[in-house]
Amino acid sequence: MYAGHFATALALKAARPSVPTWTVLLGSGLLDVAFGALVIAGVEGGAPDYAQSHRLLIPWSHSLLGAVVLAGLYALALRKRAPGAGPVLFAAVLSHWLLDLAVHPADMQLWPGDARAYGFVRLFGPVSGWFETALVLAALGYYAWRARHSAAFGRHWAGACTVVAALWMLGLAA
Amino acid sequence: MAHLIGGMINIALFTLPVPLLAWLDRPKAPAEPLAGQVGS
Repeated sequence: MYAGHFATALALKAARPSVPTWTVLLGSGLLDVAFGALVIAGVEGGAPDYAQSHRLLIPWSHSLLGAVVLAGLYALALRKRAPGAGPVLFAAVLSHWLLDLAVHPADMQLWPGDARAYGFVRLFGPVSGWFETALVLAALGYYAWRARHSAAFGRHWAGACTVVAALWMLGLAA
Repeated sequence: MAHLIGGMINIALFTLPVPLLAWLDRPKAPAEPLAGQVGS
């Protein structure tokens, strides 16, 4: 999932306008930023059968325990730059894991070293592809509705929605 | 080399849109008073 994370971040921002926008946007993608860093470090990457299964080896960045730890550290690190935003930032980071669960093959563990792995892309089948589309539409709809009636954020809310929609199309093309 | 490029692309995908989206989402400008209107 790609654009769905940004759309979710904008919806969280709309629900809590006092939270700095960049913090919730960065938080919603933090697990994949960590994944990128761990790929560079050679710690995570594609499974040996990636070409067939599309499964990744992501025990640290995309296990539930890893996500909770990253969410806690992120909220803690920004406690001075975004006072009072801790619960929203924690939720933004953790939302990534929950949303990815619906669109990943079975490669997401509850903790590093867990023998079982989860991911419901095969269970949902074609519906899984529509999940991100529905999520993007619902989240952007909520953001736009709130932004139209608030002075605290969303000066160019239509532009923000357009950018996320463009990222969603980029994700479809990839 | 492939994993280096792949990792950097992944980081870029999730960080580069952030400044643009945050800029678009900034607070709305307060309405300017009309000509001749006395501000409070």
